[in-house]
Amino acid sequence: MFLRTIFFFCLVTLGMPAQRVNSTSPGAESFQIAGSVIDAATSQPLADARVAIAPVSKRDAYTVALTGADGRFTFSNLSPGKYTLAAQHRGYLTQGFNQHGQFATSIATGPGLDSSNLVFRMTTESAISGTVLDDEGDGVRDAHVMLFQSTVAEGSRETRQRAQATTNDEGRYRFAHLPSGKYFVAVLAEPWYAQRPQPRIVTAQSSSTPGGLAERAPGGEDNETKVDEAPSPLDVAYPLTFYSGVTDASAATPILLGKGEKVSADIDLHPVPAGHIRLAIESSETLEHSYAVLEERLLDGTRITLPTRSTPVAPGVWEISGIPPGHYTAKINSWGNNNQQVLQQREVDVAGSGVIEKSPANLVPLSAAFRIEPPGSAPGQLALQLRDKNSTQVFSERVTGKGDIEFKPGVPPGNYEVSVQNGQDLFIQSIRATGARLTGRTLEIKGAAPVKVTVLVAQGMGEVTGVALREGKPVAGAMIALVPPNPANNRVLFRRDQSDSDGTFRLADVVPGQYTLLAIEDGWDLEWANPGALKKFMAQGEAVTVEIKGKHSVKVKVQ
Amino acid sequence: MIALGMGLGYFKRGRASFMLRYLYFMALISLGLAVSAQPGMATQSTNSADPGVLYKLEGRVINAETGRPLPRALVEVYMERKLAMLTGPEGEFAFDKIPKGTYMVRAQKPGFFDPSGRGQQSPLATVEIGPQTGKIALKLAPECVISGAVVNDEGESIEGAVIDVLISSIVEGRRQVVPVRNSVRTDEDGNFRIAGLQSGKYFVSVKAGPASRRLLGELAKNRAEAYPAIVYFPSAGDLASATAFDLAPGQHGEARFALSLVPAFKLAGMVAGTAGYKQVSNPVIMDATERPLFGASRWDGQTGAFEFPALPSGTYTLRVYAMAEDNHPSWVRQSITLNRDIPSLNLALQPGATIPVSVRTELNSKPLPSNCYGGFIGIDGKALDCSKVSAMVMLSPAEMSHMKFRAEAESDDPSAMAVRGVMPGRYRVEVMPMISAYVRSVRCGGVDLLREELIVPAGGNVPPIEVILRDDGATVKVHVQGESPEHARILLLPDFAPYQRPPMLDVSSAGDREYGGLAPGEYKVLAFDSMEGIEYGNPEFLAKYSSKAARVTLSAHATSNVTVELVHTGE
Repeated sequence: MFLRTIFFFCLVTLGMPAQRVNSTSPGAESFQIAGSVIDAATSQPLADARVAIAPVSKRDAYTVALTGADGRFTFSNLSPGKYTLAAQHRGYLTQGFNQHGQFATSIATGPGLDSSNLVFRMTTESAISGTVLDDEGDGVRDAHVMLFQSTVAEGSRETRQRAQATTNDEGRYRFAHLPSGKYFVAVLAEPWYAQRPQPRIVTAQSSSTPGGLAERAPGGEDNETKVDEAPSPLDVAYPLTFYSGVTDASAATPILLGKGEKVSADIDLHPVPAGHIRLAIESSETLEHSYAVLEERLLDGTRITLPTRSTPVAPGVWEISGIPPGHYTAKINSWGNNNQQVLQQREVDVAGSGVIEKSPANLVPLSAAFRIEPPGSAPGQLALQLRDKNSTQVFSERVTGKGDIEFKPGVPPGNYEVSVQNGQDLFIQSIRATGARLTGRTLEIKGAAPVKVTVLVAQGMGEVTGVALREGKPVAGAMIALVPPNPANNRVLFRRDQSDSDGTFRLADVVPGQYTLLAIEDGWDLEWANPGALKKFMAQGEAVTVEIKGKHSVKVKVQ
Repeated sequence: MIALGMGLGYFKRGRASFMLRYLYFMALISLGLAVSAQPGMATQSTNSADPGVLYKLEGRVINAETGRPLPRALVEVYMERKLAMLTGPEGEFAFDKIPKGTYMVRAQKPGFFDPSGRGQQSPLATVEIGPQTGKIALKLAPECVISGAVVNDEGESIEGAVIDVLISSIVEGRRQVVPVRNSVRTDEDGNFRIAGLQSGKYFVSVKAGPASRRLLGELAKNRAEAYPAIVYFPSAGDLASATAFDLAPGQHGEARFALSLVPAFKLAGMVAGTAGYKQVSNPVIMDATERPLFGASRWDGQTGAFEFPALPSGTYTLRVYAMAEDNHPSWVRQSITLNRDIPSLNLALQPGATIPVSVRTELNSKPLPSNCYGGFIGIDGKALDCSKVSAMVMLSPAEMSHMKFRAEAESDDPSAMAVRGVMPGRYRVEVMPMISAYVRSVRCGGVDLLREELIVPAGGNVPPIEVILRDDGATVKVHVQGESPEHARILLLPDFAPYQRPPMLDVSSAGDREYGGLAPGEYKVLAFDSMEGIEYGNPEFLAKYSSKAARVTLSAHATSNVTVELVHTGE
């Protein structure tokens, strides 16, 4: 059962007053869902846990019950059908029944189905808190603290940002309601006392000076004494700092958070002399609606904007100050008419105070042409999405009326998974590329030559339903995976589910094609996107060929 | 057009003090901003003599409360090139090589404020640098903190409760309790902490409604219960019975709330006719002062179906706002007493009233050029060019001041305007002439809007507002009597217009002030040594001082003299 709305469901409905169960129409056979809530670690029953059920087909028609002193809960007078089940208790993670990430086991009620002896195991929640301190041991206020979790998501181990917080006046931060796992903490802050040099305005008359741009202080006279400014000792910045106090991401200390643990992670920040750089925009027509930022790469491959100061110093020229030494992506963004656009992007290395080293922009122009079958069925929102397999960064562009796409100003080289979004039952039937290598749905972009992609989109995705069996008996809670050929390069074609209490499952929005269907009992930690991870299960899987608009029912053996 | 918020930029030439009353708060804030944003402007230096001679500026930053030195405070000297340094262990600082002149100097440190209490993080001092410059002391006042916890009857902590720190302050002449900063939520242990507060008198409120939707175990099994919509420290349902924290600089207030459940009821229904609108807001439940308390938990903008989470019993106002294709606003504003389930409340969006405004001028001489340049800018981002109208006409709700409706020109005729899309409710109508004239009368049907509030019924018709401006104004010469009258502020309170904000005037060092262009009639005149705490827009408040008021009758084209005794507000 895919839990599209589990958290909304839990947070909103579980707090609602417990209501009487709707009685079913007279004469109809009625069933119950009952069981006990226990602590997963100690197996002790949990009293006063709030348990909620809702029909799978109507998730806002919830019913809430509290467990008794023995941890028992009962929902009676239920019609036959499938129900989602979730529980909440102080000190425990709010979770769906037998929840694994975005999946959980739904409870089927009906003749011959036992739904009265459920054991709901709740896991204690953990927390990470700490203080961000400056050189003098004072708390740093308003520091931006980021929490990253290393987890198996989308079939491979990835580090993803899970939460962010801002330190209070004492420099304290806090991340609560965490599952156990491997975490990293990073802090971005600016010294409160930092002084930035006044940017020198470039004069128009002297901009033709060969070799660079003449400067003058704002308000000062031209040709006046050119003060040789010594850098202020307060022109300092804090580099992005990881627990436990390092600035190199690869040296970050992981926090191994156990179940129910509250871990303290203090981080010391050390100021370093700040650098400044100057960026020239090639086309400056939209200058008045543009701004320049520097972005730094985070542990999860996404980027964060540094708290630098940007000042336009001449038409088309920006000065950015307050930069700690490091490697960044400089971006000049512009906006207007409700859309934001990156005008220019380049990699920069900032080393020491005022030293600049610019490397040319390395973005590959990428365009795509769409053909849609049947013609004319393209919805307005259809977008082509490229997801960088390493950095998880996503590039997405909408298809224009003419069926083309252009990624502006381009995409950095990398390996991208290609998919269509908001297609409303549309899928990529075939795809070709020039200027880049295409393997399955993975586009490998190297070098700088323009890439052109041709996409044939068709309508009518399929559905695979079935039941997971072991020795002829249904198995609940198994991971169901619909595996495309060459899984490493076709991750976007994967579909997964968790078998419900009667062993049934449903995989929707399946792109037509050849697959192997697997049911794996303890498959939740498998890095299934990595080659070889599923190899030993494939022989026992069921081959499925999904047709356009096909509905397929398959029995699959649990391994 | 609706002008939401206080973000009114307003510029007017001449008769500055007449306009000062509208800009009382704006001015204080923007003064500080102007200086800090443009440090170059602050340099009033007269560096004529001895350009080569350089001087030293040294001193100390000290804690205004304890008198102790403040290490690691930032001191900045605004010159052509700003100088900055952190103080040493004894709070000391020293700058070399400063040319003779007058400079602005600023000290700051996180956790400290300008001790003058003007709401600034850091004080600006003016220092004359020259051979006579001695050591200077810059004072910073430590901030206050309010922290605490929210628990239920059983002592269990409540997570996610919304905490507001409120301060009673005077906004546009009326006392209002306004949140000091953004709300905070209690953490999983029920704790909260709000720092960065200046010394002052604070109320603390908790809204646990959202929390009871997040947490388990607090709700009874068969009965719908909820925490009260809002509780003021320590356990009051309204501000009148709440206890304030009166915090001196550096003090720490501790607010622990114990919340009990009250019966809760269902509120659901339908807003009719939502489909025809460009945009429809989520229904919101507000308290008597129009502060939002709850948003609908289910809302379908297409059908208009809404449902609130189980709400604690109480009396509320429900508001929905919609905007038609032509940008005309429509409203639902319904008072609701919730002491039983209301499962199907039927509401209908009603187009906001359109009230024509006509301005008639009865002028003896040719109208002088417009008093105005620039214009009003509401936070809707739209500017109203005040040179295109002969008067600004604003409708200000009686319950609050943060939402206003203003009249806009309907054509090139500066005398014909209209206020569009007005929400039902009670309003004060404020008129500011944009030509050299005074407001003779403001009437709507049979109602004298100088004396009475304007009532706008839901979907109802409102007769045109008729404004008459005249230029045969009267002049008053006020003399303030009392100890150090030079800081006095004079209020001129027309008996015939209690709901117009009165002119607030400053005086000469001898305590005199002459002021013209006033409507003839009976006035009370008051002079205060400080306007702090004076609700100059509230006639009931000012009635307390009627025994100190001087009376004067002003006549057209005539000058009248009046002497008024200075009221010492500290007494």
